[in-house]
Amino acid sequence: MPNFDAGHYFYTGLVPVDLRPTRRADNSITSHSHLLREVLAELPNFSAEDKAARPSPFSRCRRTHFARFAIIDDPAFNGRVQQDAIVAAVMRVDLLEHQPVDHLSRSWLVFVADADAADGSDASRDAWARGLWDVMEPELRAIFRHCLGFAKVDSAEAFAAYLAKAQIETTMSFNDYWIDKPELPLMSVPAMAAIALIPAVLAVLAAAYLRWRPWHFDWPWHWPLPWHWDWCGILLVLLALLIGLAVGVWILIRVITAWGARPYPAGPGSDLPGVLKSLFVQQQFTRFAIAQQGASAADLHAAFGRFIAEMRPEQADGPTQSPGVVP
Amino acid sequence: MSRRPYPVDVEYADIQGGILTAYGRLGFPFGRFALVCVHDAAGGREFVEKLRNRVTTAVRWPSRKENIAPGRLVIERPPVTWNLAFTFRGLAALGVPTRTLRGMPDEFMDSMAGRCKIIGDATEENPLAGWDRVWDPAGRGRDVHILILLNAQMGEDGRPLPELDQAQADVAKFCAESEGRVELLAGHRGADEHWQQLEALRDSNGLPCAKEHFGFTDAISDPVFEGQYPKLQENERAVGSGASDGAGNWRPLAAGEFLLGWPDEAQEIPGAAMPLDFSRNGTFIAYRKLHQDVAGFKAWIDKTAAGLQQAWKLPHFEAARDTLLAKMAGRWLDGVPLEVAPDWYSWQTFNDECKPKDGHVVRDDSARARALVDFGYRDDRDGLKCPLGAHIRRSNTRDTLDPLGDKPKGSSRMGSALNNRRRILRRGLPYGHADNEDGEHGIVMLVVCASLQRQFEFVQQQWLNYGLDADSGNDGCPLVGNHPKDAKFVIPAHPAAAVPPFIATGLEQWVQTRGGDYFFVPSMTALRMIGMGTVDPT
Repeated sequence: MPNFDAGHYFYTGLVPVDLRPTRRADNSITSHSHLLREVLAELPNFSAEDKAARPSPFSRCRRTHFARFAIIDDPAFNGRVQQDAIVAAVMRVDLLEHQPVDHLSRSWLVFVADADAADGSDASRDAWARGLWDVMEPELRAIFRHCLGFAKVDSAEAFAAYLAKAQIETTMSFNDYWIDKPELPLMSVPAMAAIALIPAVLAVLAAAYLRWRPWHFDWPWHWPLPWHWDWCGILLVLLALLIGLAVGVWILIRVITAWGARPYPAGPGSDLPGVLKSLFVQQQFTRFAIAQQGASAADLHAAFGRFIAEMRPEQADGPTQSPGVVP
Repeated sequence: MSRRPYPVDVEYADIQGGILTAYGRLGFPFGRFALVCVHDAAGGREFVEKLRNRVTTAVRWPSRKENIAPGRLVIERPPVTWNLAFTFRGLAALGVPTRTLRGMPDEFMDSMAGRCKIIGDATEENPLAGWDRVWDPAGRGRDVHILILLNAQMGEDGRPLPELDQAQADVAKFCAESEGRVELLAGHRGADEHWQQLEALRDSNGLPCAKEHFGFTDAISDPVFEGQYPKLQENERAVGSGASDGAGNWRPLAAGEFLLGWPDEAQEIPGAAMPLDFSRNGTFIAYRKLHQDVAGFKAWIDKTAAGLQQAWKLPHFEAARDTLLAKMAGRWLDGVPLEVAPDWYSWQTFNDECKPKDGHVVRDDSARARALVDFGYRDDRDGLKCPLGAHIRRSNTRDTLDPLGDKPKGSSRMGSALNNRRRILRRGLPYGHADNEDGEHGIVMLVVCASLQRQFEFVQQQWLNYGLDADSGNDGCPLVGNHPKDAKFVIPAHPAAAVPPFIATGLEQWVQTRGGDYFFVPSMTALRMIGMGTVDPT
């Protein structure tokens, strides 16, 4: 479930863009994809160079870390599917006959975002989507009104349902808020070997039992070979060994992937308020350290006490920095 | 490390001089650089043809200092060397075909002024407005087409040999003869507005030396690449200056990092402008005229060293000043690296060992020379000896960025692999004197590399003007980086010393760009094509 990892919900959605022509305010004709690109290009975003730039509307949401829109028009066509020239000649492939080319049905708006969430449930996703609607409804309307099916969206709940319908699975989520490695459960090599081998052992025993009933053993005189040593029995045992091994490896792979699919634990303080607070305290502490250079131990101790009292590092809602800007 | 089966055999007479070895090292302590604007393609080509046979190549002269045998054809050391380089606009003005031009790299097309935001030349502290008129894109900067580089030997009177004046006069004459088709541009700040004058600083005996205006010994660590030196010397010279495998072994870097048309450290010949023989054996240079505010620098050092002396309880002010300078540069003023001598006392000891002591020398000259370059940072991952943000550790990270650097010595280490694609050859000379009344003094740096974007611009933007790879946040290089308001430099302290880390604050913009551009340095083959107008990319 890569939709949810390390305390963050990774949303990916594909929304179909309206193909019909439309009118601008001045009545001139244009396309929805054109207007959509225009809206996205004009979305405010912080710029260190442009002091007048406003922060992104997503910064009003105190759960969203990153958000991105893109428009995919069509996949790139890489040319004919390659084939060995000799094979093609033997098969009498007509190279002048065009191969089919893959197309998307229309342009699609891609929306990806990652946000703080308690779990990977749909309810978590919907709660985040409703929160977005509450803080940036005008901007969301300006964007999604160029997409199919949005006309009916008139509430936070409807917007959440709209995003749910557009969602595709996020297969590669990434975040990096762990400073040290968390304690992760480890599976030992003997345990993995046991999982892989136990079915094989059981299968071999079962096959041997079925072929050579214990009462046919003239044990111990003919140990280690059973009395009825025969090729058919050997083949049966070998077959059982192979099937048992295959089953064991399959179970092992299932177990490993199940372990791997578990979400990574959330890093301490890795929700948005925590990250902002960390950045803030880090900056303030640098300034504090500079200001206190050369201070006596007693003065430094007293000043640090004042610093902690003022900063309240444990309280994310204490003094902190605004989201969406680089101060 | 596996041996490469086919050693590189570079044709020295096809490569322009000054690339393989700096002229300053070869006994040419004077430089005169001029810029030419081509108003007419045919006139420009005629001008190039007049100069072409004078151009100095990389063929070696018999040398007293360097133990390199000349070839069968012994070339006399010329009194003055000539070299030519071209901007993108210059190549276009000379009629180089569009198809060749479009094969040139983006940054070369953009020009240095066009890349000012990337390389930090358009900040409040380091604005384009500070450029010399001849470089200023709002002045004559757009007309810079050809760069003429003259370097001269020193006469017995301590002045450049008279042939230098003659060479300058010849250039002026050729421009005058062209009847306006070729113009010698004016607008260099300094004594001669047509010629950028350069001169090595002098030591206490009045002899040229490798110092720069802040007082540091410069040009110690210069990359060594395949084909640069005779094969028998190559591996020895690569020690400390080539590519490191993280286990103490060195090899020369791939020639393609510094010459076009050769395989580079990515083990491929990167694409270049066509035809192949137009690019092969050529290279690029970033010409950077950098002003140094020596008075401001020294005042800040004095003020900050007093703070360091107090914080670190150093015995006297000189030790604090030298330590501060060394921590900023990564080397003591005489070039001894902090990795070899991490504190003031060990520096004194190191230098004592290099002098005759009780009748014998602990370290001879060659051992000293080797110690100056043969080191890495793997045992100093926290920068307790050499801060991660120090100048030499930023600009040549050696094995600092080895992702497996914390692993024990062995095959798993990657050494300097990340660094090997970011090396630059540094050429050039200082200009002006620190006590000049007009305050104009600094260095003209010629950065030589096969890819300006991957090598020069990356080092400038990511390593000198930004601190992420040096674990230093936004802090730039304390010496040559851009220093916006609140710039600082953190010097970690060794825990055993029981003193706190020192944060140097209030760094000012001591180095300002005064101009420059990106130039293509053609091989002699390509220079002939340009001059004759026979570049054929088809």
